[in-house]
Amino acid sequence: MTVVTLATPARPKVPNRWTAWLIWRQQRGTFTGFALLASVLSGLLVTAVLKAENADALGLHACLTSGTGAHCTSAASLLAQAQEQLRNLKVALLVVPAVIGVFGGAPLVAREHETGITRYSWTQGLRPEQWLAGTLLFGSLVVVTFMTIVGILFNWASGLADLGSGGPWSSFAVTPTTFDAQFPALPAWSLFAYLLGTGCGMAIRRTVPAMSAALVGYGAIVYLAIEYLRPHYAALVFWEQISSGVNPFWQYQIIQAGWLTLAAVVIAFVLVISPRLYRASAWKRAGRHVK
Amino acid sequence: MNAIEATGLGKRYRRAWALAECDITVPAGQVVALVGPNGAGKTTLLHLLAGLLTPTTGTAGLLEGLRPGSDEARDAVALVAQDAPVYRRMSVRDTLRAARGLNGRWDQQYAEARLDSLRIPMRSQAGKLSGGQRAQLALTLALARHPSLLLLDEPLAALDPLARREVLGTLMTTVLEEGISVVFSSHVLADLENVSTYLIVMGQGRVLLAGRVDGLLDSHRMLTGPANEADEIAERITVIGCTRAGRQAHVLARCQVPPDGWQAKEVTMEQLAIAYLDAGSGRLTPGFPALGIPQAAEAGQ
Repeated sequence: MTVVTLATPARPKVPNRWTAWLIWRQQRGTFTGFALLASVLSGLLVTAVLKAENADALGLHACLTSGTGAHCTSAASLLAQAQEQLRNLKVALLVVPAVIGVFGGAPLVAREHETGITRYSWTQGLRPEQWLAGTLLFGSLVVVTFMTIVGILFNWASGLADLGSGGPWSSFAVTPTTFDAQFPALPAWSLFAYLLGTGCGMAIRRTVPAMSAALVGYGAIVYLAIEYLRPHYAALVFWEQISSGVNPFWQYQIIQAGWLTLAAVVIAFVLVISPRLYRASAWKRAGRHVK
Repeated sequence: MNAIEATGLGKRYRRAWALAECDITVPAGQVVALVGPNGAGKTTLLHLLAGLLTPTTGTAGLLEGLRPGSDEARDAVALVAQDAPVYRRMSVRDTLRAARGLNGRWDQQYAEARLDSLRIPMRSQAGKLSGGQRAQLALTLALARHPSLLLLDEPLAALDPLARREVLGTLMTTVLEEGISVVFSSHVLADLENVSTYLIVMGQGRVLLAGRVDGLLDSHRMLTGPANEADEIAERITVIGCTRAGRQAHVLARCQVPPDGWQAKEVTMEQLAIAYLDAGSGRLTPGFPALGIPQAAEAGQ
């Protein structure tokens, strides 16, 4: 006897490659903005590096150690320029994550709600959370890649800017405020801000209020981290206790980037998972009210 | 099979119920006219069925008991929301690509052929199409998914009469060809009078009347008789609405055989809907409405 089993037709395949295309098509404006931002910052960092390199080529090292050299004045002036530029860039780099969160993260979902397009896009075969997961993955990769490039450039530049300093890490490069503008803390802050902004947009559903909330929220978290969290980082406590010796840079970076990345992953997880759980439980709860 | 089954479905925003105690059972293959004034709860009901909203109370099953918003329901149900939302900055061609990315079940050939026959160019930007063309594009996006249940929220609202007729005509052709169940919401009943087979009248968040059009028309009559007997009539049969003109009264009632001394005429869908809307709006005291029928008569002319 032959047993015929009727297979239920497989669910049509989605997400597919056109889903990736759609996400790219929707986000390309934002990604172009990120790319421009990263290019401008990288360009400025490279010019600062070139100035420091030029100062070195003019015999800066000899000028500082033995006080002899033909171009000591111009070398010192070049180094000063490079350091000034890096100080300004440092401030910019500390603000960049907020910019990414406010202009990249917050409008991501809020704008979709505001234009009403979710009434179309969220009632199709693709689940909204699949779209969101894809978009966040794509966006996070872009943010992390660009900010890694900028951060590494800053690591390099700030190292060079210390050419003229006396101690091993007494000057520009090695202070906790500079740490946050460097790799890997910089991409970690940026990723965190991007996802925090997206969360604000999902909760508030209006672009401008979501952008404000993202700014305030990010600012508050930065403040809390600096005031209450950072003093406990083992690396810095250690650094304060012995005023010379080990450079706490990597220890600090690992702690800082570590908790930020973890927080970012948690936010992403909550944003992607919770709407579906909420919907399912809401239907279940509503069903209990039937007489 | 039922296209829609809802039991006690309700949605509350803060204190106000946008939809309350909604019980409907719509068999598959019907063209449903969902009628009611603005704020009646039509959009809330459609959004609940499309899975955009979650209810505060009640249950709903689509097609074969699929929960709205579930994967299977997503594949089988298409919503064209009010004002026909499309990605405004995308070209028509990109809009179709996007739809492919959003749906496993997608008929690109069908979509291209339909837009071609409507002379909507692929290159034009979706946001710059005329209202009629945008409605047609949104409809095409829904139809090319070959849904089993199509939910249309005021698809004709923004259109001029000519575009209305064209959109409705092309839509009904497809619906009949493919045997889709359709729910069509509107606050203009005239659009739907000739095409719908099932009527749901909503007012103030409640379902006031639901049933097959032929059955409803069959079970209601417009009675004309002496005004002084109207009170007495109301005690014997269910009166939905009543108006008096001099010594005569026009009574819309649920009955088939008129009482002695009264003449019965068949009702139109519009008279029926408006009588129930008026009765449901609380403007009428039971049995003796002052406003019901003349509005229907005027609107029908």
